[in-house]
Amino acid sequence: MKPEPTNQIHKKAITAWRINGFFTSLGYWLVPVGYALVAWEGQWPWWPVYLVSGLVILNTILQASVIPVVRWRHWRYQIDENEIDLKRGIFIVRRTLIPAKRVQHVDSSQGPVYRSLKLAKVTIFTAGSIHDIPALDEETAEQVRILISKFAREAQENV
Amino acid sequence: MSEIHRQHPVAAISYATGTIKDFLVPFVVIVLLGGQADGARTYYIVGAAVIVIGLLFAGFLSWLRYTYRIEDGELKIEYGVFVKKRHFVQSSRIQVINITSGVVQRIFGLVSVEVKTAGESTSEAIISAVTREAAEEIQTLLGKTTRNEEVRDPHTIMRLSKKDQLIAASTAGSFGIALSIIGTITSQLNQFISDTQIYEYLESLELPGTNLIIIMVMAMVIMAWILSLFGTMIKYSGFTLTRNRDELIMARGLFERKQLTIPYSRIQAVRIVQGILRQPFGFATIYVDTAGYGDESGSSTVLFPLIKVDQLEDFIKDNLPDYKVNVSAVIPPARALRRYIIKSIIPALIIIVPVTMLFQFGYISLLLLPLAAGLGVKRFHDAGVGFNDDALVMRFRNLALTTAIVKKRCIQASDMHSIYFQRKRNLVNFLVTVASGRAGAVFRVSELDQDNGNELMTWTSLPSDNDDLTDSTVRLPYW
Repeated sequence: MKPEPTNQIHKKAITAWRINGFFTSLGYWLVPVGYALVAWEGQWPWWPVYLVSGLVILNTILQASVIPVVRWRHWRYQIDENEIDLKRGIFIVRRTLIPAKRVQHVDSSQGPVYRSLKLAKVTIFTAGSIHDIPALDEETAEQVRILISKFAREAQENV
Repeated sequence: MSEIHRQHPVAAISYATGTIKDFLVPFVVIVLLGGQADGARTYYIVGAAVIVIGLLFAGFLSWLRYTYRIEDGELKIEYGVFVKKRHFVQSSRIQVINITSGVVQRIFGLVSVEVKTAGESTSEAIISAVTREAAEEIQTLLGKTTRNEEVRDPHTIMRLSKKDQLIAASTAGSFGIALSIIGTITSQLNQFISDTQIYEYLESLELPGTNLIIIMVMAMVIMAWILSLFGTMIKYSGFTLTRNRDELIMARGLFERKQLTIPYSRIQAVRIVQGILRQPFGFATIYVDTAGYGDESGSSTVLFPLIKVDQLEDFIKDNLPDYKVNVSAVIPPARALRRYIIKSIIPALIIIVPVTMLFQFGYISLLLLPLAAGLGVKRFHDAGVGFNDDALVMRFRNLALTTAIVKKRCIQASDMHSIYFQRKRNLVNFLVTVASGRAGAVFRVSELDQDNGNELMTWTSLPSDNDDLTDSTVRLPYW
């Protein structure tokens, strides 16, 4: 087995994920609020409100604090002339190899949070799958994109 | 054939019927629900007539604006009523050519030609009504660049016998779809017969309560089975598989004849699936995955609906010679058995626990537990992965036992996943993605030894490597 990938994504990923995680986790607050409204009308038991609220608030706190740190620490990627190698995950560890030959096209994109932090995400498309390398600084993202398409082109010419 | 062509005017009608077919269910529901009030029926009939006439007119306009021509091996379609659109397809990019004839087209002896390229939405290049000769001309003209000579090998034709068709239909087990249809019908039935009438009738039979439930469930299952039987009979009626030098052509269907051409070079993976109803009788179904065909992501095409397991090897040798491989394979280590059983039991528990708590005789559902455990053991014994220089064979069971054969050049990505509990035992899941339908299909073999997983990842990553597996324990494929 080839050695594990070594490149880390940008450390500002933690900030970006904290912001994104905080806002997306707010969506779950609708669950206890919705239940509370119904329970109040229909005189249902009240304890699930406390239980679910607790879980939902805990989730928001974790998403906005430690989870992004751990996730960032476990993200690794590497690109060489033969393939793109990705490794990530805390509880479920995923390792993905994408043969450079199979790459159809590469995108880089920025949401509002990424843009304000000068970060970008690189997305790799094959005929059957889509893969992301999140949170690279703009310059690296540009280089990675160019590098992948260069390797993809060369690999395809070598067939 | 560089001159500009139009479709047959029947295209206007099939446009209208196609649209109506798409909205049939909401249409019928609206009529059934709304048609109750006095006098309302007239409005509905008038409304329906207006819609039909409008659709026919729209169909006429779209027919008028639709032209196609073939120039330099390129299919050029121009269409669009308000916005003029051009759709050009290079013949070298074509994955499959699909010739279909729906009920309307068959009345006029016409067919529709659908040209599929990789990763394209379904409705792009369809010429929806032309004569069969014109369709064949399109096919040869577009095929010319990929097929250098006009001379083809003598055709070999395989047919599905009436008996096999019946076996295929009775073991199809597409209960899910059939059940949902029955559900819809019964819910609409309330319009005509009230629930109380049904209950009164059932009570008049004087059955004990539980028997009633059992009988109703049985009736549903039998009805679903009959529906799936007829559905499959119609679908596979007159099934033939024709082999040319570099393509396979399938034709099937009773009311709607479908013809599908798959060039060998476009096949991404071959799957041999043995359903739980078919396996005991020694039957299997053969699927192929292609990049351009398939209605949804990860769907695959039935290449042959029913074949005796002992004829599989000959079938593959004759029809898919590239996929005739024999490899030694690794299987999950003994310590993986526990995890296989646990993973099968958990979904069963999700059903058992609430059912036992909520229903009087719910504890009967505990019978599922040994069944689930048995399935886990079966999954463990069936799993395996093997490879040679250029092909990968993966065998795994969900309910049906699947053997997938993938060429190395068709692997889009390979993955190794492990959750915390697996890492403690040095186990990993190995996944391979191939192009299939509009997105991809993923084949997964679970709970392999970490080292074997690493070897498999190495194999997929290296351009050409003659490594064989170190601890080969079984031969694949076997059935």
